[in-house]
Amino acid sequence: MSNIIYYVSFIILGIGIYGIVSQKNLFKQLISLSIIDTAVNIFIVALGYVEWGEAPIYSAITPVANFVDPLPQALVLTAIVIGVGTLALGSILLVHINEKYGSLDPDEIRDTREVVE
Amino acid sequence: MIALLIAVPLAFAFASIPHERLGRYFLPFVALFNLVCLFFFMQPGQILEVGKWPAAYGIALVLDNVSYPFLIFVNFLILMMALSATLENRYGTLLLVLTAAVNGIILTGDFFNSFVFLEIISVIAYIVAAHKDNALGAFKYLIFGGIGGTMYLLGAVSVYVKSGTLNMGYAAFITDPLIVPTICIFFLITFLVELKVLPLGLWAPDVYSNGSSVTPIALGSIVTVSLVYLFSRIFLNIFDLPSPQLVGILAMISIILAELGALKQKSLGRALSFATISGVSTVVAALSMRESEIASAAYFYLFNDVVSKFILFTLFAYLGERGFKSNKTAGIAFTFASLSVVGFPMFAGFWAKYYLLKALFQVNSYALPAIILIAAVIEAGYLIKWNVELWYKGEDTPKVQDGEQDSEMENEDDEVEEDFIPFGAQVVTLLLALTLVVVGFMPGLIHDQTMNIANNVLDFRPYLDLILKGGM
Repeated sequence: MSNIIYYVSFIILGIGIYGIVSQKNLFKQLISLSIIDTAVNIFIVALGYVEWGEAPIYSAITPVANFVDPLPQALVLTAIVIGVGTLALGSILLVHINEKYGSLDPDEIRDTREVVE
Repeated sequence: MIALLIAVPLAFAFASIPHERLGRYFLPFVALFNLVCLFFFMQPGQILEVGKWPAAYGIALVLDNVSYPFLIFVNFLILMMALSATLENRYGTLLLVLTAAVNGIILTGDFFNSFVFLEIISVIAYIVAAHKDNALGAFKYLIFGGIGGTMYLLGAVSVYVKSGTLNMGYAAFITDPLIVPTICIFFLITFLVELKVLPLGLWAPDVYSNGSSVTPIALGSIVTVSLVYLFSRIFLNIFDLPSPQLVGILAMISIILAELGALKQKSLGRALSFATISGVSTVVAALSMRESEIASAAYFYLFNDVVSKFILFTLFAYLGERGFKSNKTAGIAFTFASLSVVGFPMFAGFWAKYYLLKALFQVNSYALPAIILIAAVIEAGYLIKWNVELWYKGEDTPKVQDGEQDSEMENEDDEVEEDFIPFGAQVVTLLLALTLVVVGFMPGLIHDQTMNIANNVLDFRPYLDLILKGGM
C-alpha cells in the first residue's frame, strides 16, 4: 500500500509530460511544467516517509522515536520556492508574448511574425 | 576564504538593489576581486566545510586542481563581458548574482547545493534571454530548462536515497548496478538541455540570436563553461557515464545538424548560435570518451570555442546592418575569431582541432574525427561567406566626390559610423583575438593547463582525499 504514493507521483509526472508534448498553447505548457514539479515534489516527500513515523523533533517525550526523514522535506521546500519563482517568471514572459503577438498559440504567433517580417 | 568568491558578488548584488545604476559598475570590480583572490590568496587543495559540519552531512566548497582553472577562466570571461557589453542598469544586479552562482556551482561539492546554484543560473538565464524583447525565445528556454532542472533534482535525491548523503565524493561509492545508470540518466538529461545538445538544445538559436551583447556571452560562454565543469565532475570524476557510445552518437548527430542548420541561416546571429551548439556538442562527444588526452583536447577546444564565440557574438550585437568598412579593428577581430573557429593554422583553433584529432586517432576512433573535419569544412563555408559579406558591405554605395559641403557631410557620417562599437568592446574583442593568435604560436600556454585538468578530473583519489580531510 505504501508504494501507491510513488505510482500516483509517476502518473502525475506522466500527465505533466503529456501536457508539454501535446499542448500547443504556451500557458498550458507552463501549467504542465508546474504539474511535473508537483509530481517530483510528491515523490521526494514520499521517499522520506516512514510508516507510523513522527515529526523529526527531538523532545523529552520523543528522545528515541520513529522519525520520518526530514531531509527530503527540506529539499522539497527549496524546490517549491524555486518552482514558484520559475512559474511567476514564465507567467511574466507569457504576458509579454501576448502583448507582442496578441496570442499564446504558436501557429498564430508564427503567422504574426511572418507578417511583421 | 573560498566562500568570498560567492559571498562578495552576492553582497554587491544586494547592495546594488537600492541603487540600480551601481550594479553594472560593481561587476568589473567584483570579477577583478575574484581573479586577484584566486591568483594571490588561494591555491588548489582547499576545502571549506560550511558551518563546520563534516562534508558528509553539510555543504562543502572544494577548490582543487579542476575547479581552480575553471574559476579563473569563468571570472576572466565575466570581467571581459563587464567591459565589453552594453549593460542596462537592471542587468548589473542580475549579472552579479550570476557571478555568485557560477562560482558556487564550480566550488560546491554537494549535489543539492549544485541544484540550487543551477536553478539560480537558470532563472537569471531566462531573464537575460528575454533581453531585446525576446520573451518567446526565453519562454522556450524556460520550458526546456524547467524539465532539465527537475531531472537534476531527481538525480540528486536518488543519490541521497542510495548513499545517505548529498556529498559528491561519497556518491562515488554507490555501486548499485540499477541505481547508478538511473542517476546518470537524470543528470544527463539536464546536461543535454543546458549544454544545447540537439534536439534538447533547440531553445538556443532563438535565445542567442536576439542581438544582445549580454545574452550569448552570459549564456553561451560563462554558463556553458561552468556546466562543462559540472559535466566533467559528475561523469568523469564521480560516476562512469552509462553507455558513453550513445552519448557520443547523440553529440555527433547534434554537431552535424547544428552545422547544417548554421549553413542554412540567413541571419548571422542564428548561424553563430548553431555554430555554438556544434562547438559544445564536440566537447561533450570528446569528454564522453573518458580519456585524459581526449579530455585535455576537449578543454582546449572549449577554450578556443568560447573565446572565439565571445568575439563573434559581441561584434554581431553591435554591427546591426553595418559592415567592417568603417571599423577595421572590429573586422580584424571578427576575422581572426572566424579563422580560429575554423581551425586555420597560427590560431588557437588549429591546435584545438589538432590535439583533438591526434588524441582520437591514438585510441582508434575515426567517426568523431570524420565529423569534426566535415564540420570544419561547413564552418569554413559559412564563416568565410559572412566575413566577405561584412567586409564588402556598403562598397557598392556611390561616394559623393564633388563639392566641399558633400565631403564634409560624408566625414560626419564616417565619424558617426566609427562610434557604433563602444571603445570597451573594441579593445576587449581585439585583445581576445590577439590571445587566439598568441595561443596559436604558443599552444603550451593552454595545453599544459588543460592536460593538468584532464589528469586530475579522471583521478578520483585527490578529490576524495580532499573531502575526507573533514572526516565522515
